[in-house]
Formats: sequence, structure tokens, C-alpha cells
Amino acid sequence: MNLLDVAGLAVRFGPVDAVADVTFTLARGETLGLVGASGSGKSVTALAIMGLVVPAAGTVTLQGRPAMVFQNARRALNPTRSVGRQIADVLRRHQGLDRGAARAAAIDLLARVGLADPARRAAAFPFELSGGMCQRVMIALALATRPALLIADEPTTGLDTTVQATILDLMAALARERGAGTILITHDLALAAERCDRIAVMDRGRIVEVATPAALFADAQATATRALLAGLPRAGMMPPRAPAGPPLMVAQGIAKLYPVARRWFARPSFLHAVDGVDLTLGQGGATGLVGESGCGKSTLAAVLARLIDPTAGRIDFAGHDIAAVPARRAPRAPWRPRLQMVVQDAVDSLDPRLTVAQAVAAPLRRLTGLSGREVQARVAEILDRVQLSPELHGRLPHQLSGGQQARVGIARALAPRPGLVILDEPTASLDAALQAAVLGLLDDLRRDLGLGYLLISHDLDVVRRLCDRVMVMYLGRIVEAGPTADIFARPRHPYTAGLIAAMPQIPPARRARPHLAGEAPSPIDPPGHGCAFAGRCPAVQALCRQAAPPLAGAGDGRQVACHFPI
Amino acid sequence: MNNRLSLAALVAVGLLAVLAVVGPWIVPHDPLATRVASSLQPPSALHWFGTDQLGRDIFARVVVATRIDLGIAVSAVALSFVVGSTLGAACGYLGGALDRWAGRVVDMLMAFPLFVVAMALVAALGNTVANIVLATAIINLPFYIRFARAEVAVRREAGYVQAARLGGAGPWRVVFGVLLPNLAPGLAVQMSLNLGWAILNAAGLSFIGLGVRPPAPEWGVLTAEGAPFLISGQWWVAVFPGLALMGAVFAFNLAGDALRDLLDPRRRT
Repeated sequence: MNLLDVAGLAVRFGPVDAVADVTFTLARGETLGLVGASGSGKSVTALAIMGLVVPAAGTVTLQGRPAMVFQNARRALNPTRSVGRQIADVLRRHQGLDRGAARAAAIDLLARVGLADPARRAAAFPFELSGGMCQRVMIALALATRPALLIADEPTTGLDTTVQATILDLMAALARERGAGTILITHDLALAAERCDRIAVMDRGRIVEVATPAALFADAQATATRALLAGLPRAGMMPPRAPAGPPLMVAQGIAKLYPVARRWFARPSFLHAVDGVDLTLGQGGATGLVGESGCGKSTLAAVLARLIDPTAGRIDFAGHDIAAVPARRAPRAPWRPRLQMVVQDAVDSLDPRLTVAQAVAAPLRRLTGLSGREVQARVAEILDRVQLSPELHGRLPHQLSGGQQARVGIARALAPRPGLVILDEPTASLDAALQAAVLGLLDDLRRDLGLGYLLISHDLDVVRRLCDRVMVMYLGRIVEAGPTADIFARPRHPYTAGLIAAMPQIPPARRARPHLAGEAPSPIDPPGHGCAFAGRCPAVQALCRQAAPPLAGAGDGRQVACHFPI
Repeated sequence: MNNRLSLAALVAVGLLAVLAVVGPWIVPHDPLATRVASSLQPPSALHWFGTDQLGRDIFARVVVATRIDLGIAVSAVALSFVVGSTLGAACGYLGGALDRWAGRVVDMLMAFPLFVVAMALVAALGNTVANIVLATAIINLPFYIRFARAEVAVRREAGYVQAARLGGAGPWRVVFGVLLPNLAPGLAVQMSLNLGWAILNAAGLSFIGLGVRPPAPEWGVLTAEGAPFLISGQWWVAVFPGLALMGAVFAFNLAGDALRDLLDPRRRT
């Protein structure tokens, strides 16, 4: 008998058919991927299986209990209760344990999901834990009900690829151990292909195709599946080659330290967000800056864009040392129109009061001496260039889709005709198809307008598609830099190798890969000597703990900061 | 949510504003004319709200009082809004010494019962309408400073603020052109709630003899004058001005909620 039997499931929200005629089965120990674009009904199906929404028609037959791992674990956890207690609450309700036994069992569960020092972590509140740790807690919470079915709704969205790989490994191992079934909901077909036995593709509330990953890649039947496949990077897709251009920006010795609240009579502590970075950005080229969250890449971007002041360093751009101008005066500096940035999180980056046209026109009016009519013409031109049709120009941000919001942010940065554009996670909140469209647009714009890009991303795939050069950042420093094709083909730094190994691969290959264990150490007062990566490095040697390796040339325009490069 | 209630509140506020302007010309009796012969008359067709101990028409006095009560409240709230939100927004955005000092002053002000502060200010500065306005404005200041400061501090790192700075907006433009307009819905609600409260405050000062002085008609004065007659059964002398006071406060509070719904850009379609 099947573990789960869903037959003719339909959910209506008012007049809207969120899900219609969904039928599928799941065997014990099987992993089913539920894949589709945003709004295709994946999450609603999961909620209906959980009994959290009432279906309008159809039946759900499940042998045992379901449990759900939600997207954005930190927000799904109760912020006012320690994580140990939250798990204990569930244990007391579902298994009838008494207070002491529930506490012990909660700590045991935290150990099972791979949290180091579980007894201490149990007392922590969600905001004291990293995103990856919160997701582990969510999984522990789901396991506390002894589920027969684990439903994971985008469990790794917003997490680093390295953390994503370990979380998914953990879920697979736990499900196997219990013989439970798993439903993995994701918009990332590559991820589903790698992790699932079968994939069900959803489109506008219906399942349009169910197949094994291999069959899906070999011969996709439904249009929606082909659209999803089109958003994926091709195997052997070559990243662009660096055009030879004069340097646009040269930064030397950039450091950004934040003082940390300290105890009385203690030595002052500093958080080393950026710890001595040199870089050169060429005209018309695209450089990618990758690293796990918290490595300082967004801080470096904000310093280079002159939104915040560096603690030390010099930035030469357009004939000025722009680091010498305080960030407060930067808005009126002569080079401001030439150096623009697309800020992270498209939703938050748009003033809720301004229409699309106003949002693009306001900076243009301030930065250039253009007349009203010229501004209008330039706004119309750039909005057309980013494919926002005229009927959208009068809309407010909340009336736009995620992809449209991202385009407005790009248009706003490009309108003053900059030479260098810094892009901070430009596609982080978009699903695969939209992401591919926005990346394609960015690539066209760069070529047509001769722009230089610095692209910040935790997603190596985004960088591979858009950038001719890559810099890999770890704990405030660049550990490896070079041409994209070379670095992806043959990473020299063990950290880069770990990041690349954690990427989902197309075509899917089930394989045992070495994952980077653990998380980056705290950037507060990092060890003064020794390699910062030594604690996580699979090839660590005695020398690594004594002296920090400098970023040195490794031939072919490559640089690596490692004593024993691969 | 409650469109009919919102509409009623806005209509009531509009009516109060109209009465404040045209009140003295439309009342059936002279609010200051005394006729001892018809003193302490209960409400009738001739005197809708009755008459007071000097035979003055209470309806006329209540209506005419709208102008002075609303005048004090509106000027006081306008003053504290302009000063408070500017100072609060500057504190929230710039931080530093300004923020620390303004914070201390606000804390100090809040440490006293605010009505007592207002009493002391009027007593010290002199018993004039201008000083009531000033005192009412000062005791309302902390709310605007704190609200604007907190909201600006939350939004100062927002993406659209960064985008504005990249788009050539200096600190002043960010505060006044980007941040404050985004606080408008919250500030409007605050102002509307405050208007009711300011009316109550002005009336309270007059009630205890600080502020507007008899025989000028003002809701606080009227209520104070009528209070002794409550015991002797002439309830209408105090109750009608009291009801007017209550109605005005109620209307402004409801109007605050209505305004918030209207001004929220996310509710526009």
C-alpha cells in the first residue's frame, strides 16, 4: 500500500482555483519533488496534505502523521521561546513526555540534526542562530512528531549552497533511517533532479507531468517542464571571456572594521567585515564576487559603491580617489552618476510611494542636469530597454511582480548611464525562469552599453552565467581570483572546490561529494595568525595554523591564497 | 474595514471645522448676552441646550466655543508635528550627540505627568491663549520625536534609502524627501489622535482656571461653570459642553484610523 494517496485534490480560494485535480502517490522511503514556478500551487498542495487548508474536492489518504519543514525557518520559529523549549513543547504534546524527559529528548533531537553542542544550543533563541542552524531546528521540530511523511517547502531558499547541501543530506538520511516518505517542494529543477526519485511538475494548479529525473531531462513532455528546463544552465556552458579593457576601478587595501560592544576593562573588539581587499575591475567586464553569507561581500559592495566609509584603503575610479570622499558627501560627487549599484532585495529597494516612472526619474533629475522633457525621454528609453511596457510605468511597487520589481531596480541604476554597476544579489528572490530572464537581460545590457559589472552572489551558478572573472571571498578576504572558466574547471583553493562541489549539477548525478563541513568562524577578532579557513579545510597542515597565506599569483591571471593549492 | 464609520468620523471632523469658522454667525442667540430673568432654564425649543445661571444660551456658547478649542488644538498639534517630526527624523537618521541630547530631554519631559507640566508652563509663562498653545505643543512633542526617530531609525538602512543615496540624495533630501513622506500615514494618525487629546488638554487647563478665562465661551470653562449645578439638578449646564468635548475627541480619534487607511499606498489599487 502506498504511504500517501492524493486523488482529485482541489483547493479554491474564493473564485480562484489554487489547485485543481491533483492526483499522485508516494511510496514509503520515496522522495517526490514538487516543482513549478511561483504560484503554481506547490505550497497549497502541501498545506492541503497537512490539513492546514480545506480541499474543495478530492481525498488525501496518508498512513501515519505528516510533518512540515517550512521555508525561512527563522521566521517560522517562535522568536520568544528558546529552540529547545519549542521542540520540547511538541514532544510533550505528541508523545506525552514529562518536562524533564521532553527536555532530554529535545537535546537528543538537536544532536541528531547535527547541531554542535546541542545542550547549549537548546537554550538559544532563533535570532541567535544562523539560518542553517534554524533550518536544522525546524527539521528537529518536524521529527519530534515521528512523522511518516516529511514535507519540505523550499527548505533551503536563502541558504548558502554549502549549507543547502548539508541540510538536504541530513533530511535524506533521516528519512531513510525512519523509512519515511519525503515531498520536496522547490522551484529549482536542478535541485529536485539531484534529490528526488520522481518529479511532479506543477503549472497553474495542476500536475502536468510526473517522471523520473532522467526521463524528464531526456524527454520533457509538458510546456511548463520545458520552460523550467530552459531556465537551467547547460552542461559545459561556457562563461564569457574577459574583454580587454582598461581598468575602471582599482581598490587597494580595503578594510571595514566595526567596533563591537565590549565589556568594561576589556580590550576593544572589532568585527573584521572586510579585511584588506585589493581588486581591479575592467571596463566592459563582469566580475563575480562569491562567498557564503556573512563573508563580507555585501559590506565590500557597499564600500565600493561609497554607501559606507571604509576603515582603510584607497579606491581609484574615474580619476578620483573616491574613498577620500565621505559617504555622506558621495551623493553630490561628480563621479556619482558613473558609479551605480542595484541594491539587494528588489521589494525593499523601491520606495512604496513612487510609481515606476517616478522611481527612475527622481535620481536622474538629481544626478544629471537634464530638463523635464529629456528626463521623460530617458526614463521611457531605459524602461523600454529593461522590457517594462508603458502600461506599467504608472504602477506602484506593490502592483508589480517580483521580476518587474527587479527590472525597475536595474533601470533606476542604469538610467544615469554609469560606467560601473555593482549588483548585489540581483536575482536572489526570483524563481529559476525569472532569474534566467533577468540574467539574460543584464548580459545584453552590459554588452550593448559597454558597462562594467561587479556581481555579488552566493549562487555560483549566477556568477558562472554572467561573469568573466570570479573572486572568492572568505571571512573578509579574497582567497581565490581568476577567469571564471578556469576556476570552475579547476579550483585551486580548497574553499572554492567545496563551494563548487555543493552546486547542484546538470544533468543530475547522484554522487557522494565532499561537502564543506561547519560554518565560517566569527569575524570578531579573527585569529591573528594562521589561515582563516584552516578550521574547515579538508587538507589542513601544520603550517596553515601558523601563518596566513597571502593572495599570490598562480599563473594564467589567477591568484590563490593557500599554502598548498590543489 | 469600516467604511461607514470612517465616513462618519470624517464628516464629524468636517462639521467641527465648519462650525469653528462660521459658528459665531449662525447661532440663534448672542453667546455673551445675559438675561437673569431666564436663568437656568432647561432645554426647550427656544434654548435647545437650556440656559446658564446668567441666562446665556448654552447652545450658542457650545457652538461658538468650537472655534477657540479647535484653534488651540490645531495650532498646538501643528507646532509639535513640525518641530517634533523634524527633530525626531534628524535624530533617527544622523544619530550621534544630537540624538543623545534630544533623547535625554524627551525622557525628562516624559518623567513628569504631562498635564502637570502643561499647568506649570502656563502658570509660569502667563495665562494667555498663546501660552496654552505652547504648553500643549511642548507636552505633545515627545510623541512626535519618538515616533519619527524610531521609524526613521528602522528605515535608514532600507533598500530605497540606499537607492536614493546612490541617486544623488544627500542626508537632508533623504530625511525630508524620502523618509518623512513615508512616515506620513503614521504621523497623520498620530496627529489626529493628538488633536483629540490636545482639545482635552486645553479644556482641562481652562477647567482648573488656567487658560481661557470666563466669560469667553470654551468647553472647559463651560464645563467648569456648570459643574456646581450638577448637584442641584441643572445637569444641562455642564453636560452639553461635556458632550461636545467628548464628541470632538471621539471624532478625531476615529478620523485618525480613517486617515491611515486612506494614506497607505499599499491600499491603493
